[in-house]
Amino acid sequence: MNLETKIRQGGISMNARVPVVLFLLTVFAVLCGDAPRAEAAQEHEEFFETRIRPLLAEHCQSCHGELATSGLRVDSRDGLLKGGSRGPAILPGNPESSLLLQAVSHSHPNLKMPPSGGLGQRAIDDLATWVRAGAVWPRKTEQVSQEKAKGISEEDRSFWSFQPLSKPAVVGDSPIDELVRASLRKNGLTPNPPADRKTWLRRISFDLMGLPPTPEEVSVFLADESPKAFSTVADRLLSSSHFGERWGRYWLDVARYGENDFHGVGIAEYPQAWRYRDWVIEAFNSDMPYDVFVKAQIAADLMPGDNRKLLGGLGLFGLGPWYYGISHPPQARADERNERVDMVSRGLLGLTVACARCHDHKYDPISMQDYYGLAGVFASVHYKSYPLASEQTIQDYKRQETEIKDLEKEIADFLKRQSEDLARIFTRRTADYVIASWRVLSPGEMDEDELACKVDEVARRSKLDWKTLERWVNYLRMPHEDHPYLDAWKRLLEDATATEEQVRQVADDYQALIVSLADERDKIEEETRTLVARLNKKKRERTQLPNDYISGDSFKFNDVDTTPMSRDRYLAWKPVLGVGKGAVLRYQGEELERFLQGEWKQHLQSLRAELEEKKEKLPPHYPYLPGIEDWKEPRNAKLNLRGNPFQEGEEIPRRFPAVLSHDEPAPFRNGSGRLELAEAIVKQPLAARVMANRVWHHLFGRGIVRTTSNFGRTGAKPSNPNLLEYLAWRLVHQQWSIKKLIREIVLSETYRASSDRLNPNEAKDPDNRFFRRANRRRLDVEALRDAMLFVAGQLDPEQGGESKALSAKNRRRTVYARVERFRPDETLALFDFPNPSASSAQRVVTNVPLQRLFFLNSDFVLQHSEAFAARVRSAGSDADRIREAYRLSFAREADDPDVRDGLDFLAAAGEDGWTQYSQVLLGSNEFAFID
Amino acid sequence: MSVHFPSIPRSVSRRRLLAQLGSGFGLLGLAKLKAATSGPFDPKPPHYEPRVKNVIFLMMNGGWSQVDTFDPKPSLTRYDGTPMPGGTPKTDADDGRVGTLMKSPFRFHKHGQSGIEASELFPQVGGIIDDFCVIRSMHTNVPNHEPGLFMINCGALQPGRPSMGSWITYGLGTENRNLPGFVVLCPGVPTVGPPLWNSAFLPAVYQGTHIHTEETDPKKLIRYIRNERFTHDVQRRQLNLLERLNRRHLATREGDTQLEAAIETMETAFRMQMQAPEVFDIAQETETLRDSYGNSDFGRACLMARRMVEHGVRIVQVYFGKVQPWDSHGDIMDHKRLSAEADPAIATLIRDLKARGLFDETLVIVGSEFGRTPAVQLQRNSQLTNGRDHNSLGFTVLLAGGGVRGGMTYGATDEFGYTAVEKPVHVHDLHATVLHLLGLDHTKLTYHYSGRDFRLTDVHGNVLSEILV
Repeated sequence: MNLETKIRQGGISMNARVPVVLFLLTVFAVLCGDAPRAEAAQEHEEFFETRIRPLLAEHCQSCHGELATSGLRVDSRDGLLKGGSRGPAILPGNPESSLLLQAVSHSHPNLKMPPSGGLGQRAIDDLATWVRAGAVWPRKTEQVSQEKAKGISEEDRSFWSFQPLSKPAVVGDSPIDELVRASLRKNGLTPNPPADRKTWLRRISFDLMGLPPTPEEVSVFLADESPKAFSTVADRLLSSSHFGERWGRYWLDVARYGENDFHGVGIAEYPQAWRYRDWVIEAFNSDMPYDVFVKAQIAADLMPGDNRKLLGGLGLFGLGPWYYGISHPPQARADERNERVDMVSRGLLGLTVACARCHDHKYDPISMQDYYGLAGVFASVHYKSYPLASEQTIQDYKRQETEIKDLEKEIADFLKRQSEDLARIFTRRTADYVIASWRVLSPGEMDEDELACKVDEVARRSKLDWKTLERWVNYLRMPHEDHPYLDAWKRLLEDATATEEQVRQVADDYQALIVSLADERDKIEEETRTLVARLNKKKRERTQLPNDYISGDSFKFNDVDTTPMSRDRYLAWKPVLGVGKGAVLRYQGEELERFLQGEWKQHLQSLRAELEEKKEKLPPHYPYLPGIEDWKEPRNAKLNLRGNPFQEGEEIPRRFPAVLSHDEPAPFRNGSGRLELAEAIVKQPLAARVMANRVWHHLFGRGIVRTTSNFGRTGAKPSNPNLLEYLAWRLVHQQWSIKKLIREIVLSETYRASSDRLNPNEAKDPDNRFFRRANRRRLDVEALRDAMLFVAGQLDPEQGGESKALSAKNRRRTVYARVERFRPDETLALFDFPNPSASSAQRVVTNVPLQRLFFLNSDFVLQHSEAFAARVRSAGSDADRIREAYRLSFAREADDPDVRDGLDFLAAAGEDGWTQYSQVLLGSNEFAFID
Repeated sequence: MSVHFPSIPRSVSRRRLLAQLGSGFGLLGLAKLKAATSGPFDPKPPHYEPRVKNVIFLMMNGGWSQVDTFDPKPSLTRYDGTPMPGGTPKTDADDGRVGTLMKSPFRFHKHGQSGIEASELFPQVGGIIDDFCVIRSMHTNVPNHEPGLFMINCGALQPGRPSMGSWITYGLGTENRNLPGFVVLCPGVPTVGPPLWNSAFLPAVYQGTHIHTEETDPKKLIRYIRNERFTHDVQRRQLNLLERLNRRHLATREGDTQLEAAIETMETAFRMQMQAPEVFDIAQETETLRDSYGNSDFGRACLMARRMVEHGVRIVQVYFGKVQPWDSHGDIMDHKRLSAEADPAIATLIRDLKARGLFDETLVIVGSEFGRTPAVQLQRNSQLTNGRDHNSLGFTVLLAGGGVRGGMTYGATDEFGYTAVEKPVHVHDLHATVLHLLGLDHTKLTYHYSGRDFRLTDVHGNVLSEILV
């Protein structure tokens, strides 16, 4: 039925619910002058926007948008006019002859769209109306784009965190204390007295190195009466290489450092990810200026001068997260870009720009244009590994790798051919095996052992392959209801009077069938090969590297149209000749090699020997830095309507968010614009405020701005704005030195204050927002685990290098543990390690019984309790050992009750008493908390 | 620094809490107990009166076929072997495509008072069909396992969102803190694996605890649950000393609740060592009951799931098997082998929950990441097979338990079982309904992260009020 007939019969009601007025207006517009035309245009536009655009977007665009299946795109009028491989999709004014209408109304003989099922009648009517009225597509929205750039008002700009940095007026020589005290006075609070020296030393040691002080360090410090005693300690800790292990890890939380990703069918590993981790640790140890640190991670490859030492920073983006093969490529890529925008904006600027992916930010002055301006930068980069080896080494490695792959393929192909040939050979013996099977099975019921004996006996007598006969017997004794080709055989088995001749006849017929099935299958394969070759499309290659996604046009077997086997024949073919395990005539692996003799066998052996040799000779993979680089042709992102990557709108130039720019933000010009982006970021007062606040957060357990990655309207306000301003100012004006900033803070009296909860302050300020005291903090998983190793004398001091999974045997610092995105380490996860798939602002602290089970029963704790016990053994008597254990665990002398309790416990305990006692100390609150 | 909890008022039933904590707190006194029990797993009050307390989610992972189980389509038989009108079904598989319509090789029978039809693959479930609400109009976004699994577990296509189980334990806590609140049972690892029970940006404690059910020794099922070295008495002595030390430490640090909480959880952990293995030990059940669940990994896991909800585990998810067992591309007859294990296990679970009075406080979900095509699967080289491809446009999920109307079907697919056409139910709607039954408003169960409030249902989801009692 053609469309016209359908319409006449009422199949398509041209005006059922369609605004008649629209049609009239169209006519009117043609007849009259300009003014009504404008109104008509508006009417058209409204109809298009409310009825047509959503319909195209919802039902057609996922294939006929960016993917342009069959060459057709429906996201512009031009696209529809041009059409796809079948010609124009619409003829304006003539819906009956428009392919689009024929397809959606299913009046076309073989083109029926959308494949998921018919559109509703109303949608078809709307489309017909629209085409009849000329298929008006509003000009200014030639492609989807409705969101207007949000103007930035003065009020927007006046938000506190966007203001230029200004140095608060301070007079004394301890500005931090001055500013904290001023804020305390204002809030009617008084500062705590200083903590005792031991407490301070334990606090600063964990804060700067993530390790407790040794008893020697305690006694040296306690004996040092010089005014420089405190700064001596601070300088010692800041210059220790353990400093970078502690502070680098803090950064890795923000950088969502991970060493693999979830990958469709498995895991994508980044085996040299640790080089980025080591680069970060080294950057903190060498006190790399924070602005350089930031720039290197975004654009080291584009920075002028010798950038070799900076390239390692590119791991921030080289290590993903990459989203492999989960959803359609446009969706996955858009999600990746979103992740990058989130990392950059929250991690470095404390702004939640990713909120503006689907709509303008609801609270902050950030528009969708701002979002897509940043997204474009990341649309213009791809993964790249930067080799750290000579060209020769790389070439050699790649050549050897290719040789191995080729050889592996050669072996696999050889075996596949042998398997096919063998199956072919056996098809010609089908009748013999069927007859033999009849001999085995005709005597009737028997148990498995009897059956095996019988198979053995018949095979020997008939000179047939025992295994093949067994397979035939197993197949032929099953009931076969799914195809008719064994009906004769079934009758035979039930017929006690069957003659040899009858059996021979059935067997011959069946062999003829099997041979013909094999022939048919070969024919189909051949046909497919020819068609595939003619398609001349590349099959998608899958690699373990990121970027494996440029598909769109990739080859699919769907495109190949060959005639399939009939179902009955297929069902007869599959169990005998089908690919894969279980088919009667398909031999694989060792079962196949049983048949390979002489030259064949020797050939296989020599190929394998060669492969082994090559594998042995292959050196370890040459070192490289995971990173990114620009595509040759940078490209802008297109605005995604409601965040939907299949509904693209206007193209947004790559640029910095407007509210952070003085005037209209200028588009980035160089390549992707990464370097310009990085430079714009470090010029932002926000960049300094966010980092200064992170430093404070790690030293006090709480930021001046509590929401450390959100300095927008939905974030917290600074509890002491002048203090934050001062710290950010210092950070910028001391060459962005993190170490100098930390030093100044830890030497303040504010940092030195005790953590005691002193009334009446506690009631007024229970959360200690104004920093009148220190916060008691539980050690994070790194410090907790490292401290156990350290006091037990077991910590392996080796720094850097490949990551290893945590285990009782792994004695390295926790920062060197493997960090999986795919399967988070159970111990890390148990103690609140953040999810490495997204930038983490700060850690949550939970307290659950499963954590305590770790202290009660884990091999790790038991093993190191024993080591700890052994370590203090040399201290002398039980009492002396107890005192030494206290010095090691808690950096203090044991009190009398401590010693008494210990002695009582040991006296009553058996021979394992000291291990049991050590375990108690390591599991105690005093060990896990710093005052 | 504190964990962010939903802003719903707390009013823990003290009596219930004390009953669960058991003895061993003689020294503490009530005031201290109060301070010490504000952990992330405390039972939290729901938004409104819940219909159920617990969830058992049985995943027929790989994708069970609706037209061979609970969505009979006589038209498939009539048009067997002919092209599907309206065009061949679309699939997303790389090398796949589908051919002509294929009838179900299985017979359907009417069951129960409701007369709902179930195929011969599920005679036992059919026998109690009046307990089930059969949703025949499920649909999801992408007909591939990974995104399908992410969607039905986490409500999003990409990794990085919390699992439904994490949301539920975050929202409600758990009734028994001697056990994890969210347990995942699978003999091995299903496709995608751990990201499916990840807590993502929710605190890590809400992550599902994966238990490899092929491990039969109940003491090995939870990590660190037993001490290889010290006896119970030695541990008791250690804990007595530890408590003395911690109390002395606390004495000079008056009012620090985190220290008190740490003391309390140590005691809980100590008791957990005894209780947890017991819960996992299905050998404590009668042989008759175990036989009735069936001698299969899935049957044992279903029985274990019942023991867990009985002991207050909030949500148990049971994967039928590792990887994707129900993915019958090659031969739909595979469903016969699979259902032979699934049918007795599911039916026995329902009967068992009823026998123990748990049925009304438990929600049982039986479903998969998507359904299968009504047309036969063609594979590379155009082989015709006897199986079905993935289908995201229409599939079936069964619900049973408290608050759910049994003996009803909801929604419908088209004539061939391909597309949900009547009252379509997106996975988001299913999630919204599950939360609703637990007393949680899916629009209010939020977590503030990265500058906005996240939900399990994102900006979607409608509660299926018609299926509620």
